[in-house]
Amino acid sequence: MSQSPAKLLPLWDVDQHDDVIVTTGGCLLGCAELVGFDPTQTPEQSWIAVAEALYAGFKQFPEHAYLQFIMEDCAVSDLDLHVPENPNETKMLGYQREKRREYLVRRGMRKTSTHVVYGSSFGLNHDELKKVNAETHRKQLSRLKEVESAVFGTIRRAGMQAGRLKSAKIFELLHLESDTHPNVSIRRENPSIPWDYTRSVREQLIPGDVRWHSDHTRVGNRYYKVLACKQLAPETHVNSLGKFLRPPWNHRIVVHIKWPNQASVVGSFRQRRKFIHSAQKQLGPADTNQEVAQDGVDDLDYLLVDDGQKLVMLGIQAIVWADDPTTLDQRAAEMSRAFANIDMAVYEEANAHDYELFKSLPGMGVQSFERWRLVPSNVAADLVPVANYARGDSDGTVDFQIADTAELFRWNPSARIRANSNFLILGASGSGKSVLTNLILATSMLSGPNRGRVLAVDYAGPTKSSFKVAAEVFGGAYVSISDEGQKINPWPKPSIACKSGNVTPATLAYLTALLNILLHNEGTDKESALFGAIIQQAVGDVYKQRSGDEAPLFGDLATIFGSYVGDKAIDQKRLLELMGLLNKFLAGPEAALLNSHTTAPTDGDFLVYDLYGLKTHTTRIQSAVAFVVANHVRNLAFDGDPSKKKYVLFDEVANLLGLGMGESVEELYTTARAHGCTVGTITQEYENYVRSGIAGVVNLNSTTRILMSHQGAANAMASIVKDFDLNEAEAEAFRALSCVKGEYSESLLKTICVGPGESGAVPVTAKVRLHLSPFDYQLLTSDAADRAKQLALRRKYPDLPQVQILDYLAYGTEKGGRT
Amino acid sequence: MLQRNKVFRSVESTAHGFLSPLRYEVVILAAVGLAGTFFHPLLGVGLAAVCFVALTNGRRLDHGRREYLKLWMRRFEKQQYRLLDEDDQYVPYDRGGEQ
Repeated sequence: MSQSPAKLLPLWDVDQHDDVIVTTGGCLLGCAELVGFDPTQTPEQSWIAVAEALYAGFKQFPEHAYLQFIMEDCAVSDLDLHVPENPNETKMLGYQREKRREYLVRRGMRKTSTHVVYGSSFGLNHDELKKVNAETHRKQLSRLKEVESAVFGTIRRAGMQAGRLKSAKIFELLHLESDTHPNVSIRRENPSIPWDYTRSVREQLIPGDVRWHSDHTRVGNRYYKVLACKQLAPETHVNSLGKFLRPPWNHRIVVHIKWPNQASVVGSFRQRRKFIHSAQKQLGPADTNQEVAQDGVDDLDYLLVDDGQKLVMLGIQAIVWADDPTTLDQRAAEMSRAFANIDMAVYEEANAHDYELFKSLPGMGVQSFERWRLVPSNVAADLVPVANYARGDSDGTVDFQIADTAELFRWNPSARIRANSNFLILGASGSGKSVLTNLILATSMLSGPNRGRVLAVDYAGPTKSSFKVAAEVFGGAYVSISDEGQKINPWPKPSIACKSGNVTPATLAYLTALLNILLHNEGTDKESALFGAIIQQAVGDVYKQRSGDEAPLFGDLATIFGSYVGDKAIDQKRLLELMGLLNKFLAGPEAALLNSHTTAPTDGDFLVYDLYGLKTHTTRIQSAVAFVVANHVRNLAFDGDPSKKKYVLFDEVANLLGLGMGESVEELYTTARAHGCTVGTITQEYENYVRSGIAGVVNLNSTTRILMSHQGAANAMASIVKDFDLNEAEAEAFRALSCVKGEYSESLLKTICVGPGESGAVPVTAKVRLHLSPFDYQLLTSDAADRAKQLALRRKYPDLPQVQILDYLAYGTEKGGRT
Repeated sequence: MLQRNKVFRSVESTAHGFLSPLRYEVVILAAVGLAGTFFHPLLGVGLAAVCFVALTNGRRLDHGRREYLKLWMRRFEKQQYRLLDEDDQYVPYDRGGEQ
C-alpha cells in the first residue's frame, strides 16, 4: 500500500495576490524576513530594551496566533558569489574573480537567514471548506491581519527589522533542499515565472521521491533527520538561542509558538496547582513529587495574574541533512550536543522523520505540530531568534567574512540604495588599507557590472604608492605631479567653467578658494571678504575676455588686475596689495608648478595622480595643488553622462585639503551621485585628516565608513569612536580589530543596505574580515619583497603573460604543475 | 542585567491538556469493550477503561503524537511515496471568483 504524500504537506496554495501560504485546513499565513541584532555590536542595554519590547508584545498576542521562526544556516555556494562579467574587463581580473570565488567557496563560508511565518491557527470548519468563497477568504485574511499587526508591532518596538516576503520568495522558502528538480530550478532562477496552476503545489515543490526509514527520511538523494526539543533549559533570557553553537554544516532550526485559549490552559494549570497544594497538605512536602513541589507553582500564578504573562505553547525542531546516513548520524549527534550546551534536551523523531520534516516547512505545522512545551510568554519571547548578522548588499562585489562567524558579507561600493555611494576608509599603517583598496579596485571598479573610469589621487611617491602597483597590474597610468614632472593648470577651460557666458558658481567658489590660499587671504573677517570680492570680479573678467576654449593662466589674472588700476569702482589700495602678492607668487618657484598649461594625461580608464613630488613645497602650496588636482579630477569625472560609472579615490590627499576648500569639496561629494560617481577617501593619519578641516564634510557625505585597525594609535581610536558615534559594543569591536599579514585584515563596516523583504534601506554595522586567495595576494600585495619576486620572474620570463607569473607564484607547481 | 525567566517544569509537559480519545481509539475501545462484554459486562467495561488509559498515556508519553497507528502500519507499506506521480488529491485553490 502506497500512501499519497499530499497529507504530509498540508499546502493548498501560495496566494500570489495576498502573498500568503494557504494550508489545506484553510489557515492563511504570511512570511517575513527578520533581521535582528549583531551580538558583537549590541550592548547589554539594548538587549534589555529588546527583551522588554518582546515581553510586552507577547502578552498582547491574540489567542489563536501562531508564529514559526525558521533559522537556516547553509554553506555559501558558487552561485551566491556570482558576479556578472564585464566585456571590457581584462582577462587578469576575470581570472582573479574566478580564483577568489573558488577560494571563498572552499573556505566554507556560511549564509544564514531568519524568517518568521505568522498567522492564525484557526482554519476553516468542515462546512466552510466545502464551499470556499470570497467571504471565507476575507474572514481568514482578517484573522491573519490581526496577528500580523501584533507581530510587526512587537518586532519594530524591539528595534528589529522585518520585511514581508512576496510569493516568489515564499516558494523558495518552502522548497526543500534536495537534488535538482526541473520545475524548482526554473523557479529559483526566474522567480518571476508565474505559478503553474495546472499541477499541485506539492508536485512543484518537492524535488524528488520521499523514502522513509525508522532512522531518517530521504528526499531525492538527500538524507534528513528531525530532532525535537524534549526539555527546555531551566532558565532563559533574551537571545537564549544566540548562545547556540551553530554547527558548520547545513541545518535549520525551527521554533513554533502558539497562543492557546487562556481560559482553558490557565484553568487546567489552576486545577494542577490545587492538586499540588492538597497533596502537600495531606502527605506533607516530603511525599509530594519533589520536582513539582519545588517548582513554585505559586510563582507562576503570580506571573499570570500580576505580571500579565500568558501561557504559550512552544516547540523547537532541528533539521539536519547529509548526503549519506553515516554523516547524517554524526551530524545529529553533534546537533544534540549543541543543544545540550545550552541546557536543552532533544530527541530524534524515530519512525517519523518524514512527518516531522514536512511540519517544519513554513506554516505546515500550524495545525499538526504536536511537540509542544507549555511556558510563560516571557520564556517564549526569550527563544525568539533575535541575533543574526548582516549580509550586506545582495548584489555585492566585495566579499568579506563576518569576523566572529564564517558568514558572508557582501558590499557593493556603488549600490543605488544609499543616499550617496561615497566611502571612507580609515586605518593605521599596516592595517590592510592598501590591499582592501586594491581589492575594491579589482573587483568593483575595474571589472564586473559596475566597471567604470577610476581617477585616483595619491600622496605616497613611486616607491610606496599602492596605486602605482595597481596601475601597472591593471593597466592604468601613473602620473607624478611635481616641478619636473607633469602639471595641471588650475584654471578650467571656459567650456567647463562657464555656462551661458558666466562663470558657474562652483568654478567661482573653487577659483576664489584657490586664490585666497595662494594670495594669503584666508580670514573670515570683513577685510578678507572685500579682498575676496575683487578676486571674484577678476576671475569673472578673465573668462569674459577669453575667446576659444583654451584655459587661462595666472598671467591673465595679472593682466586683469592691471586693467583695474585707476578704476574708481575698485578699492585701489587693496588691488595694489593683491597685485603685489600675485606678482610675488608668479616670480616664485611655485609658479612653475601652477602657472602652466596642463601636461598630465587626462585620457584612460585608470589614472593615478601622485602628489608626492610636492613634498619640498610649503604646506600652503601642497594644499593648493591638492585642491587643484581634486578639482581637475572632478571635472574629468563629472562628464555629463551619469549612466557611466566613475570612481574618484583620494589616498591621504584629504589631509592636504584644508579650511576654505570645504564648500568646493562638499560640492564634489554631494553632487557625485548625480554624475554616477563614487568618491572614496582613504587615510591613515586620522588626526591630520581631522585637522584638515574637511573631515566633517567627507564624513557627512560618505555613507559607507570602513574603519580598520588603529592598534598603537590610542588617541586616533578615541577620536574615531567619538566622531563616528560608535556605541559601546561597536567601540569594543573597533578596538579589537586586527590584521595578520598574509592571512586577513579586519574592519568595522558601517553602511546602508537593503533591509529584509520589502522594508527598504536600513543602517548596517558589521565587523568583517577580508581573506585573500593566494592569487588575490599576489595581485594586490603592496609588500616590496613580494613585488621584487614578481619583477624578477617577469624579467626572467619576459614573454610569459603576467597572469601566468602571478598564478605560478600563488599556487606554485603543486597546482597544475605550471612552471 | 538581563531578566532571567524560569521554565516551570510542573507545566512544561502539560501543553496538550486533557487528551481526548481519537476517532480510531474510540473504535478500538468499543471493539475491546464489546469483546469483553461477550464474557462479562463488567469485564468489557474494565477492559475498555484499561485500554483508554493505556492509549492516552501512551500518546502523552509519545509527546502527543496522533499518528502512531499510521506509523505502526508503515511496516506493511512500501518505503516510498510516489511524489513524482500525479497528485490525485489536488484541489485548485479558488477564491470565489475574485481573481
